[in-house]
Amino acid sequence: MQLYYERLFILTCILYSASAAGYALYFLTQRPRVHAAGFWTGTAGLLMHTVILIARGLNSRGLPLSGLYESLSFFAWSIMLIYVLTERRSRSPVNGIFVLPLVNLLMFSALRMDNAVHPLPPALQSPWLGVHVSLCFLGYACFVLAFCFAVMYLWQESEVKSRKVDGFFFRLPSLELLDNLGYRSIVFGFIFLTLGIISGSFWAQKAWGRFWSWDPKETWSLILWLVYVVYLHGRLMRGWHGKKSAYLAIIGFMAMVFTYLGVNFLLPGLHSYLR
Amino acid sequence: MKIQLIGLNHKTAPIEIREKVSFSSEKLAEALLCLKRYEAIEEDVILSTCNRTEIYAAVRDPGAGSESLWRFIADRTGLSRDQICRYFYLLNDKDALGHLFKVAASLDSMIVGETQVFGQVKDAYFQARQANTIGRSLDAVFEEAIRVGKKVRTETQIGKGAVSTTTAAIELAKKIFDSLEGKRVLIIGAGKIGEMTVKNLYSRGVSTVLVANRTFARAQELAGAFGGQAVRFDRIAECMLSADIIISSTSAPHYVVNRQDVLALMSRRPHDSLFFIDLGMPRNIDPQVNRIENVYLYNIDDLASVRDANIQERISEARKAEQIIALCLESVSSRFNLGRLKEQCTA
Repeated sequence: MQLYYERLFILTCILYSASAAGYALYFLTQRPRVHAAGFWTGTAGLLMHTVILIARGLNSRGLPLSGLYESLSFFAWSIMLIYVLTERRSRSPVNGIFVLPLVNLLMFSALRMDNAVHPLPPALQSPWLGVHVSLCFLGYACFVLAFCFAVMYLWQESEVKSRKVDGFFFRLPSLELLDNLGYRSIVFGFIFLTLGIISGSFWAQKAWGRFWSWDPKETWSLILWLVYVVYLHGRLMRGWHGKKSAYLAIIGFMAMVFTYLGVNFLLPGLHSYLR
Repeated sequence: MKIQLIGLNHKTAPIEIREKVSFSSEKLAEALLCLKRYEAIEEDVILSTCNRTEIYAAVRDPGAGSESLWRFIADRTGLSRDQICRYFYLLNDKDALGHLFKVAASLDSMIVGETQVFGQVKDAYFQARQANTIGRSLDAVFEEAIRVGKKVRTETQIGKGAVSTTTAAIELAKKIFDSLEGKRVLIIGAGKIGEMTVKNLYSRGVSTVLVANRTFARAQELAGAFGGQAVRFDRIAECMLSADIIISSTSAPHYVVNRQDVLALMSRRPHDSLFFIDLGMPRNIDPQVNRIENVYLYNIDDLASVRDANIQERISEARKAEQIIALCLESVSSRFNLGRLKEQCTA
């Protein structure tokens, strides 16, 4: 069984890598067919990844979310899911060259972790786990996309501003579109994160008897949430857009990485399940 | 059956010669039928544009065919044999085919990658069909040329990128704004190149055009052409507040828009990007304006460098296109040999 997981996982990694290569090639050649090849290999990878998650979930009787291996893999899956579902609507097919390397980074890091199927620790054996964690990861995935759009925005902005036109200028989409896409990603990410935090606090009330315990993960989630509150407030009330928004999206992304990984390794607390 | 081509273009002949040889669309049908009566000419197509006139013919015998083509040109235009030799090219079979493919793919155009010539090739083909001067050979040749033209257009970026100053401005605007539809344009000064730029923007769906000019009557005239609105010169500041794209082409000796104006402006309209196109000479807009957040300023030289970058890009795409053409030419010429064998069998 273990061997099958490993093989399927490696196959998924190969599909994602091929997809990343497809997008890079598309960026260079701009041929629609190359893009289609990149997109569909990525989608095939996503399907295979879904199969692995379901199989592992059935095996461990719950969402496969124990341990760093499963967590990284689930995170990569969330990003791919959101990406594949939104790419067509975004009218910006070059995003893949930024998103897929990140997905690959997560997958290849997971590959180095212990991938044995562990039974969930008793504290996590609750239906709340799936709701809480998947909402948070969907939120994180949206923030990753927003980060990619922000990087593309800043890049394109410097191209337009410097008045030195080169290949990137032609290949990256318009500033207005990138700005809007970043904003929309953050709106969705914010909704998921808010629901994730609320569901988490209800679970905490049941499990630990308190809604909020100022555990490092909780504190950092709050900080993360506040960064995006600033983003949304600035945008809606003060009309911040463009570079200001892009910088905030990048700060939010860094806060998210710290909330996800940094807290677990540097600040032990109630949430220290990932080792 | 042999395919022959006699023709001239902007590279081989000056305009004085080209205009003598060009066929207006009214005379084309008559010319097609007239040529068909010449000795050895079985089928003919005439492609006549402002940059080229080319006559494609399917002939029974190449020697007699080319003789007929020479004579036809001399009869129609009154050019001497020497002149024809100097300005025209005569190509046979595979060379003629390759040339037609290049023309259809817009590799032989004055502006490589321009789209017009593809339509003109199609038109020439349809007109010859209507005049009934086209048969199986040229029909297959032109069908193939149209297919090659399409293929090059879809598989390379040859037609992409603006290659004139005014279209370069549009291309830049499209990298700032998602779509030009519904965008508001203010044009200061009613110069010629400014007018052309607005015309281009207007055809791409900008919603409001405001025209400010020292002479109000001229502003009204220009505004009328784009369903826009003329404004007094002293109201520029308030118009700038609602504009997304501002084009300036006045001949004022000093800056019409300076940094302070725009700074004040942007604090009152924080939401949107503002795109300045400075076509004035001397410059109308303080170059410092470009440093302000969400403000983008391009002057004539910047537009020219965008245009040049695009032209370079097209040249590299043209190499890809040539490979596509070479491949098609190989497959077509082998297929045509087969077709000819069959013809002989049935004859």
